[in-house]
Amino acid sequence: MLPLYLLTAAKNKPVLIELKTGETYQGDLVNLDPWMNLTLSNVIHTNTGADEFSKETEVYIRGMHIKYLRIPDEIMDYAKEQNLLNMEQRNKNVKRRGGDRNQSGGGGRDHRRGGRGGNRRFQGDRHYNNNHHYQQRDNE
Amino acid sequence: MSDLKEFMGKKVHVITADARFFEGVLQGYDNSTNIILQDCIERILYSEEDVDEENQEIPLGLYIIRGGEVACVGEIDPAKYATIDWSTLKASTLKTTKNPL
Repeated sequence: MLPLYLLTAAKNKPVLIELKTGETYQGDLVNLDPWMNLTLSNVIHTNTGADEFSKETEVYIRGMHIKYLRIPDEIMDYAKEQNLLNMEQRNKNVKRRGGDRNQSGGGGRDHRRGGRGGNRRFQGDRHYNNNHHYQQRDNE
Repeated sequence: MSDLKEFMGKKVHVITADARFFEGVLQGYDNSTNIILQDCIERILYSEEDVDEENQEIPLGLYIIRGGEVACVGEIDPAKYATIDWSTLKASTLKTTKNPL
């Protein structure tokens, strides 16, 4: 599992961030991007010496300054579950596409070409044929 | 590029640029060596000189460590690991990660 995927699963959950400077931020993860830049809400900020604290309603943290993140243990299971659901969904889609290709035999290539946005318009009849195969299979 | 793939799902030790020593199950990594450690603990080991200090083991939970901070990831051999008495182990201070030119 990718670290960013896990982190995405931790949205709206409490997280603890330590920056390279040693400062820590504790708060609810609002959003993140592919660079691990984060926004947190309801934040408690602790300085490097851990002797000064301050409260912030919202902060934005640049990913490159992060040393590590601590996230709730249960996020791991949650992320795995989500991953599994996504995989199942994808498998379903692949199966559907694969089945279609088998049915139409040599026409499989046509279907693939038809699947691309631009060409689709000019291959309306072929596309229709593919749908026809679909119906046939369903009737069998 | 060598691969952390072989360490996936296994217990590993991680040494970070700020000389911390982590232990946990490697659950994921990416191209920039950001790593996920499950059931992560931090070990603090003292050297021979620190006579009145006791080695510590701090449970941390689920951790994501930024790739830039990771200095070293090592797979744990369970058989050897079992023979280590962490409470009495002495360790010398790690050298800096910065190379003087």
